Amino acid sequence: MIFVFIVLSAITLISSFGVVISRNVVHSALFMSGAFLGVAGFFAMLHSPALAALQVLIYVGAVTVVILFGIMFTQRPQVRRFRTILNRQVGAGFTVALFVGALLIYVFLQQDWGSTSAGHGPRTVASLGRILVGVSSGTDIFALLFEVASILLLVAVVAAIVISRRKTGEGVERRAEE
Amino acid sequence: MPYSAETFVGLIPEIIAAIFLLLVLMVGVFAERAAGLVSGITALGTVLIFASSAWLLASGFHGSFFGGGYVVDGFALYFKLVVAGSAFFASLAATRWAQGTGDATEYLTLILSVVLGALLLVSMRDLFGVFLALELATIPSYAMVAFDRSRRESAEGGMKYIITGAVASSVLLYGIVLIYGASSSANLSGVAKAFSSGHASPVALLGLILLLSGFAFKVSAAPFHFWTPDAYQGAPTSAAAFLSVAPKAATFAILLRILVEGMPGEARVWTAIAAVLAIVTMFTGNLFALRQSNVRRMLAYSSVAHSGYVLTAFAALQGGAKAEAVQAVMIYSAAYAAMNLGAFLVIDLVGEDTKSFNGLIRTRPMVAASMFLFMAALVGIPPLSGFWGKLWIIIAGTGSGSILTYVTVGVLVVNTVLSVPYYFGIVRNMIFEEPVAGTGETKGEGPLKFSVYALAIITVLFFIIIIPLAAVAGSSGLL
Repeated sequence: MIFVFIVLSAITLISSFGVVISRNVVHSALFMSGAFLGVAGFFAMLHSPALAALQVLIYVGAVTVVILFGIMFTQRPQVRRFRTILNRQVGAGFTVALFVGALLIYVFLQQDWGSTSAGHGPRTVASLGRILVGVSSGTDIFALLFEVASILLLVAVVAAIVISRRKTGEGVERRAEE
Repeated sequence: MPYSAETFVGLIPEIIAAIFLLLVLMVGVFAERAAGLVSGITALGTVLIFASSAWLLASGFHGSFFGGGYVVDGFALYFKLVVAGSAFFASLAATRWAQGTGDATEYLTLILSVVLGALLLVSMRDLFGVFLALELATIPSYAMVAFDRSRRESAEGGMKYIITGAVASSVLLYGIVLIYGASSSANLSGVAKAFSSGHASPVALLGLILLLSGFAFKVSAAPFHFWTPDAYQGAPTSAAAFLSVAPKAATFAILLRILVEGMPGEARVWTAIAAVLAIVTMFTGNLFALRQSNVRRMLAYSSVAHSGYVLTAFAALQGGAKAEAVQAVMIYSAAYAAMNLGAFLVIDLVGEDTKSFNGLIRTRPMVAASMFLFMAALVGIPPLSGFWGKLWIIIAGTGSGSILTYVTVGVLVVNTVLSVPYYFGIVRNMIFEEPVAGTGETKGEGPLKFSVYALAIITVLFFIIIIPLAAVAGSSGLL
């Protein structure tokens, strides 16, 4: 079990590191799907195959592909490369990361985990769905949050259009006005 | 059927906000160039939100819905009034700028979604709900900061804001998840059980620290404030004005609710953290503000300093003055909303360079008088609005019985003196310097001027408004 955990952690960490340091946006996106796959493995380890499957379907499948599409449609090939990715702040960043990592390790070692174990809570897709729309007991708030999430997605689309239109739309609009 | 009619009554302000959000979006689709129409609809929406919240407050409506995850009480309704009020003035002030860009619809949609997020946020009693509502208030604000295509700082500020904001959100979420794991409940009453014994588990305490760090980012407390000056400088002025007031007040409100309702057992820990954060934040904000030549950047640092003042009230949430500390946060938020919104809107009228304020008393006396009032209020000169906020914080602080809090209150007084030069530097420029060309009136600034004058009147008459405010704050239902 501990061996599986180490392998999954390695996959997740190395992929996440790859996302940050690779100089090509497409490579970053591909690395990200690796990190998502590692997380899906953790869900499987925690006896939650439904969540693992959703993680693979939604994150590895849909999100990564949409990001790749987004990159391909909005940018010319030459700007897909970053010039400098490791800048002057790398030292400070590593110091902060080391400090936070040390703090987390210390706290997790101090904690009395008692009888904590994997394998509680709802497992089936049907019960996950009931929680999501707030009809199972004790999760009423999710009925409201479900609606809020839908508005959040709508607003995020508007926000994304506002931000991304500046690059391609700028020239087009000027021409239309002139 | 778990949802009674009462649930929908309690959600009236949010439902109005959601309806007007969609309405503005749809009107924008069919009437592309009608910037005046959509800003009118937005302003009407905020008025209706304000009226419905006031009606709920006046009728004494309170209740807890969705299994205790969503609460409507005096505290929440008070902050809904603050948010709706500042959104009203911000949407009026945005009219002129939005007309110029041709994207009024998107801009006002984003304002309304920040409003909706803030309205939901102050009522949440569930940590996942807190996160979602906070994101609904934050994600559109990234786009608002990056909205101005004509200036490079806008994109730069937006980029910095998105990246630090995303980090802050993930830190906050990590904290929430650890708290959820330690208490096996995301509901604040369930969380309170895990924190009640006085010696919470290490993981729960780590969750508390991460939660506080995440919120410190969101309210731009030092040392998590680095995005603030760049974001406020880059943003369109009306956006900077609105974002420095409404979401910030709501974020302080929900942080107060989480700490008071969810973690009363660990008050010793978080009041100490709040005190240290407050001291660092006040000094950082004021010392950097002293060195700015750009008024907008100066006000950004001043808003950092004001976050420190509010955090002082958080540090006072112990001993015998808890009720006063909660009132202090509420009164300060309203006072700060009026004076800071006004100061930013004057920048929108006059310009962001210090020089553009030169001799304003001769060229535009009314605007100069308003700016003088806002600056004096930000310093905290009685009887203007800022004074009452600071007075309540000092009353709460002296009643707290903690030495660290006494020190924090002392630092607040010192910082008030420190802040005088940069606020009154503007006043000096307005009175003694020779006017520069090009500060005259421009077309279509009627609504903007109306907002500035109205906010100036509110700032002056705050000593009357304070009476109902204190009454509402005193019976807020929190504590």
